Amino acid sequence: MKSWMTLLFVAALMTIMVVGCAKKPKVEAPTKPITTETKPPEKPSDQPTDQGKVEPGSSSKFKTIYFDFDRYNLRDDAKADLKKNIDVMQQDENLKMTIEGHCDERGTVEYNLALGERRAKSARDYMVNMGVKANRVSTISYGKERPIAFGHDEDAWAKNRRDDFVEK
Amino acid sequence: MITLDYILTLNMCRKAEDRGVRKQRPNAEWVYAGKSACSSMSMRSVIATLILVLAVCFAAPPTTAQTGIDIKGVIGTHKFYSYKIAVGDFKVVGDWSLTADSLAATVKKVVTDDLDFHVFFDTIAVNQFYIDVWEIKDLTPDVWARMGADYLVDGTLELKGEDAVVAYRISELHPQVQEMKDEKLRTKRGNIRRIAHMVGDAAVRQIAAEKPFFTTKIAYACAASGRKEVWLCDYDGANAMRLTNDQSIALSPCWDREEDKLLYTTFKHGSAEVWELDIRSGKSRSISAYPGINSAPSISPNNDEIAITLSKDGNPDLYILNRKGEVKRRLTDLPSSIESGASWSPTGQEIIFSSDRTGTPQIYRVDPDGVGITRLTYEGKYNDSPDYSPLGDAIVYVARGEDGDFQICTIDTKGSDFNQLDQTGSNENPHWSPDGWHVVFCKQVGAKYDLYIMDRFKKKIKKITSDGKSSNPAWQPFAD
Repeated sequence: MKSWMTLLFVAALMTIMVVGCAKKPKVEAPTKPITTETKPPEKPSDQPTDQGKVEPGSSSKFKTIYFDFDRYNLRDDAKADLKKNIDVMQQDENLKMTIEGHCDERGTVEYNLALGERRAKSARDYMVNMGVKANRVSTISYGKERPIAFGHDEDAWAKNRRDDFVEK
Repeated sequence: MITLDYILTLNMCRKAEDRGVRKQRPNAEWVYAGKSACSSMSMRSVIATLILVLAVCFAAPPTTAQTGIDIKGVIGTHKFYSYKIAVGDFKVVGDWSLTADSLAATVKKVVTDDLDFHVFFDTIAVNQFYIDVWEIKDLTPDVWARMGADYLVDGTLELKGEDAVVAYRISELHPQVQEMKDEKLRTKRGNIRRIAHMVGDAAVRQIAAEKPFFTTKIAYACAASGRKEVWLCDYDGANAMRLTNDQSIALSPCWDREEDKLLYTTFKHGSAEVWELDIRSGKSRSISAYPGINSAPSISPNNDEIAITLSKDGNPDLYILNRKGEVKRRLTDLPSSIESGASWSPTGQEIIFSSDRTGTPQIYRVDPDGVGITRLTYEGKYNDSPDYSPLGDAIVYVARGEDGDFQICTIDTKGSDFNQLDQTGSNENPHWSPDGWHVVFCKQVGAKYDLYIMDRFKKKIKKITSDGKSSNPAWQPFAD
């Protein structure tokens, strides 16, 4: 009987030991991010030299107009600025322009590409309705790919939801 | 705290099932056995109980068994189990060198990471307490079995000139140790990660009877070289390399279903055009350069057609092109809404897309001939970027929440069974893995955009790029 009691005691002791140990948080080594062997981004040997050409923004002659989130209708302030751009076009009959539609960074690349085009076309339609010849105004959408403000808040987003007017 | 006899019962039941599962499954890819009833063990005497308790403590420590019931995912009426697998050492044989040792360590790490990420597997770590108590010198299959593993992958590595030879072995550990597969793979040393992925692939194929994806690639857009170009990396983010050098804006890659080719959107000639890039030769050709935007291409399952967004007729609508880029038919024709983001069902009988015809983008489906347009999402004001699961059971997309952040969500193909995959940051462009159990997407944290992969059920998430400028991923489909 005594030996049975001893065995019982030893067993209980070991159980406590093991169970206590088992309570330790499991080391989840495999879930940590793997260290990839990603090469440092290669630098293209022929670095673009036309950096200036693609700087986003309107030509100095024209005013940029802005839009609400996920909208392409012209706000009253946008219409006022658009009228000024129309005046510039009417003063010089040889002037041609491209309207570049842009979006803020929210939402997907593909949807924003389409939204940017709608924004550019809203402005173009308005200008054509106000008497500017259609062949003087072309449109292009850059979606969310060419932000002018690089923040990630409403302030930056509001600046990026825009049409730039670029002289051709 | 799970009681010890419960753990033992559970382990014994599951192992019996595992064997049953594999026997009835060799050719049925999507059949998973249900959980069978198992009776609890009866204890006859105090002594028996204590001996059992001791045995359980040392044979199957609770740390490896506390996950409980192992059903991790359900598709329809089918369930799957999580296989407990240990990745043992890949021992250097032949002449030992530091190089060989580090290559062997790489193989072990890559195989471990692969299997740990895969939704069908849980990797078993070494139980140091058990090793210390029993003063174990060698991690034999028996030792792994007693530490809770049901399967083991291990092997050897030998250097032969500039080549490395990896011999791997996959073993089943219950009821007794039995080898399931072994194979020798030889490669250039620089290619060691690929060989390791092939070992992981073999384990998935052998144990889970699933098509493995560890050797697949992910194409994505990345601005790390200054301009946004199309890049390519392994599924785990390794071996990243730039593919295009358009030096304008290149994005939205879409995989050819058979060859190593991508369709992508580029601004290299001014406005958004879709080009086809041959990954091996680096050559590209124009596919769709209609006036206005050409974007968001998606190749049909039979590889013959392209669903695409064009605005050549005045408004962004969906069209079907042939592979040369000629318009075959128009799918949508609404004068004042944006239709974009097309994705084919695996049968080719359905196309899903996003449309803002009600004022904000929502997910819709349409037959490939343009009829039967049905709205699928009603919750939330902004649902976009749908991708149809290669299993045909679900759609993954982004939903804009009340807080303004975008989250990765899934619904079934009728629009029900909503499930949100990730809660943090703002996410976009989700894309299924070729096996349909995992997704890749872009997560924005602060000013950084990086790619993440995660699975549908355990929701284990892994960051695979760290340049902060990666987006727009597309996971390579299986070449059937």
